Amino acid sequence: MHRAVTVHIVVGLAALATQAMAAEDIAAIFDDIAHLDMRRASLTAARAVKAHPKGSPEWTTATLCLAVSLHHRQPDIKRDKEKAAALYDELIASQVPPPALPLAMIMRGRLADQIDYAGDTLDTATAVGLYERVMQDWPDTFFADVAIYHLTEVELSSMDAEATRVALDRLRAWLARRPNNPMAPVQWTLIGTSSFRPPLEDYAGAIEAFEKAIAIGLPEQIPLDAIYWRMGGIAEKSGTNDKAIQFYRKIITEVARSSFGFEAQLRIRALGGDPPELIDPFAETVEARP
Amino acid sequence: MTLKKFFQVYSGVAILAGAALFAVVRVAYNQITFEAPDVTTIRICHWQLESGFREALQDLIDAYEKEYLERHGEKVRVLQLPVSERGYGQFVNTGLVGGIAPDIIERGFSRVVNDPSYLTRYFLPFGPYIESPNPYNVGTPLEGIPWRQTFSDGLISAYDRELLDYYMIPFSMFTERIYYNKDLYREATGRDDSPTSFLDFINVCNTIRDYAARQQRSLVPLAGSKYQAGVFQRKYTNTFLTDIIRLSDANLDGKCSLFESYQAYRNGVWSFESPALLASWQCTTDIAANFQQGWMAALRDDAVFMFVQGRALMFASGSWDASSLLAQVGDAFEVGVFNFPAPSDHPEYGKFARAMPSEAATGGGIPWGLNRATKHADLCIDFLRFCTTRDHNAQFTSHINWLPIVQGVTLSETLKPFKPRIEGIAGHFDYEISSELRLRAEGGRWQLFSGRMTPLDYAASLAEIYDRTAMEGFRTELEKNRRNMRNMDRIVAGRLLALAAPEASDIAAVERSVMQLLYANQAKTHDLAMDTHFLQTVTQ
Amino acid sequence: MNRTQRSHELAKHALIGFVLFFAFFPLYVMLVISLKDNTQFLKSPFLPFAPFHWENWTYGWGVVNNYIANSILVSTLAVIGTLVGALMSAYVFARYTFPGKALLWYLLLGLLFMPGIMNLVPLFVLMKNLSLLNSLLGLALLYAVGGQVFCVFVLRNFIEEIPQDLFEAAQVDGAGPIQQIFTVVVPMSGSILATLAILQFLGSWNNFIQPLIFISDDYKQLIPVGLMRLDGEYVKQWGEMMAGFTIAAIPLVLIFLFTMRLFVKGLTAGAIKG
Repeated sequence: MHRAVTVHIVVGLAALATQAMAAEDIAAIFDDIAHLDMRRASLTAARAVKAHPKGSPEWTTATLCLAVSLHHRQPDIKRDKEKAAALYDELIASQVPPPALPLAMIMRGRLADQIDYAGDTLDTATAVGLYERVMQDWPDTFFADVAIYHLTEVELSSMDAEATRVALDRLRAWLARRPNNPMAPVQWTLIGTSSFRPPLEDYAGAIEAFEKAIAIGLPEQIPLDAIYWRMGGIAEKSGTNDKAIQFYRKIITEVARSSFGFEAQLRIRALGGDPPELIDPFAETVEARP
Repeated sequence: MTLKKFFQVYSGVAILAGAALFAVVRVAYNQITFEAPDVTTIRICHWQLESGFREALQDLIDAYEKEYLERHGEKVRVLQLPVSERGYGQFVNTGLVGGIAPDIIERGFSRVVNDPSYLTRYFLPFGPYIESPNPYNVGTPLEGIPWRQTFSDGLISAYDRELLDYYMIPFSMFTERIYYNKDLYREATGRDDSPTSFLDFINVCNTIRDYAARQQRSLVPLAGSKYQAGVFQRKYTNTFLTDIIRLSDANLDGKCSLFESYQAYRNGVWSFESPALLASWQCTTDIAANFQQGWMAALRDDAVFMFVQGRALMFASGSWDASSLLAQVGDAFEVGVFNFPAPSDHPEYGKFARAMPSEAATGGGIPWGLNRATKHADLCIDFLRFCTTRDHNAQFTSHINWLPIVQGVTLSETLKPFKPRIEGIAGHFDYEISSELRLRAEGGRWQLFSGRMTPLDYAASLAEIYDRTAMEGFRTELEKNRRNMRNMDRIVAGRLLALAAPEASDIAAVERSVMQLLYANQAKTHDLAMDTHFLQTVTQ
Repeated sequence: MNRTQRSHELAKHALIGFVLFFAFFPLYVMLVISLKDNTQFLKSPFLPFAPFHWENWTYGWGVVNNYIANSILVSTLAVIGTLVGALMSAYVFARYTFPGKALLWYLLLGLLFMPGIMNLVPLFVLMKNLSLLNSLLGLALLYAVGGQVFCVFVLRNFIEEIPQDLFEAAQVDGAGPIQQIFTVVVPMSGSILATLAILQFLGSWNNFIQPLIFISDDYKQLIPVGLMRLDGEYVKQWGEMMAGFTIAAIPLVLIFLFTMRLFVKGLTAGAIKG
């Protein structure tokens, strides 16, 4: 009796220790992946997968981590990518619960629509199918916002005018339905970036898309002068010089340290406008402090 | 035993024993001094061996240690480790991998400190610290302003667009200028003001040559070396190419990439015999004609010596050399500084060159990174905050005659000519698409600038290789871009996966970061698709 | 001395003078420049002239004294460690037979042919795992271990040459292996031990790559890396740099002056049998 109790306690403690270790392991894997140490992450994740029964939440998380770390482990070799694909497929086939499932589908899509190693080929059909499933099954989520972004990118890469128009129209429709989705700024800029160049050369559509992106709010850490310069150029191409002057003016007045400032002045003058004076961002460094 | 014999036998032993004793005492002293248990030590490494830098940094360190003791009643020691450029990369790499790297590291000379995948692994981001005010600014005009905004570049140059965070704190910024010997200039030209235009600059060079011939002095207008020729080439090439850049810039980002230039070349927008390109080469050749004979064999140091010895009137280099140059020159003569004049007043060059390159976006220099393995992250941040108050940045930069990076620091008379030029062109033209072309361009460049090859001959030699290798180069560069995009995708995947973490933290922040990453790389991704399509079309 | 002999002597001396000139000229230049400021250096680098800038030496000493102390300590410890370890191993190989002796010996010899640079990465990992990075003692240990193979190889032959009778006599007097080493081997191998000590000291003193990789703190750094750091300025202060170089060279010059006799004796020991 006494001995049985002792055995139970020992077994219980061992189980607790394993669980505690596993939780630490999972946290460590996420940390390693976040810091791009995919090699270490893959080794820890492989141990974690073995440590948990198949189908358990821990197994699902560990398997997804293992797949992602193999997918992105360097050097990029065929064996790793095939193993990653098999793990994603296993998760998808097992119908694991979200967020693992949509994430596995998006990651699997990325694996299919990119060249990952020497000799790899694109499998856009698989990628498109997976992105569409994410959009269908989780239509009001961030996962779907990401999926439609990648789906549009894949379709744009065909450079076919009709396919491009269809893809951008669908993205516009998505934005009309989910105007404030977290991906909206970058979805609008994708429309802008791909509209003004061949095959569409839709200048007005591009400017409108960029304006919407700016209105929603682009990342503040990246100065807006490059996008204004581009919008000015597009406006010039479309013959709407007033608009061009307006964008060039914004470079001078809104972006303090733009290397485009002087050229914006030149463009405004060339278009018959009167440019504002450049603001010297270093002027303060000249003034003495009392 | 005689005294002589005793001396013969034991003097060697005594010297060896003395040396060993000295070594033990010195090492023990260092151990006690630098690893005292009651003192927290942080280490800061850099490669800035210019005259005055170590002293200027040490002054800050001394002041910090004193202030820290007064504020907290605890001792702190900041050890600076100056390492020369030659060994810096290895020093930092091995230190980071081995976990023994200094706490604060000047980033540079190594892939480990620049590649995003290593940067995130070995360095701490400054994001969590820079949006709160710098406590050392209390009682100054910068009080209450977020630390980031107290830098004159708003830390834009510190922001890593792939990792979406700030990975350096700068202490200064740099520009390139022409230094000149004011006494000699006055003597030879009878003027006090520096050259005001490009033609004036060329006239001054001619005057100096005449003066040297008259006086039978060994004197040239410009101290030259390959390094100096490179400085002029950097300044005077893109200046001529703004029209070509605008016509070739398909994605309208203001620059002309290798891919855009190739497509424009095929469309007849430019050729190697384009007058603008020929003029840009001729311009640097004209300038290099004012170097000393045999400048191609001279090292950068030789050019410095020529200037310091008064054998050259002018010397082109960066503001980072100001302090060392002034120290070398001493009282021998007065040093003046002026900006590279735009060749807009030249009858030929003026057709192409409207302005010199803009320096409005000059970023911060001396990029300090924070070692992720440091045990004293808060202390390191505290030290960096202390160093980047207006007064301390002024003290530091005035000591070494470098441009300050903190808002509102007064520029000395010496530094005013180094203030970044905001009126300038922004574009950049890149055509060296294949390694063979790069080799030929590099090899022929010195012959061109030394006048042994005409711009037309140089153009012909480049065109021949370009026509033969550009397509393959295009393919190779495209592959490189694809790999870069692939690397970016690793970072996106890392962020996306955070949504599956058992204790997912700020989901909105994760979503925002995914969006920001895709935005930062969107144009490149789209260019990649366009360029791939182009390649497929032309190879079909 | 006839004419031919005289001309032979002259030619010999001229040749020796020629060689000595090239050997000492760099030292001379170093010394001369160490007393100049940059202006003097630029005017004439090779000729000494007043004023002499002795302050360069003060500066040079300030820069290199830590490096010298560290180098002396590490090299001395490395020599002691190498000789103690190698002496014992060589004694075992020379005096005992045991299973696998030949194999072990050839494995040991195999290490002689391995370029040191090949080991750098595994060594780094090992030192990291042993927490010996950035430690002077760790570096001394590394040098001591690195020097073993060559010293064991040389010493084994020397110990085997020592007459067996001496060891047997010591055994009869009750001496154990350690005592035999100190009472028989050490006195009989003094000159070769001194030579190995000098070679090991020189090797440790001049080693560049290991202190560069394994030591990060400046105050723990050794002479070769320290000198490289002196030579890194954009605009070099030649006088200060050369003063530092000259001071750094002094310990080795002193060591050679006082141990040259032993060194030559050790190198020639065993050259003549009998």
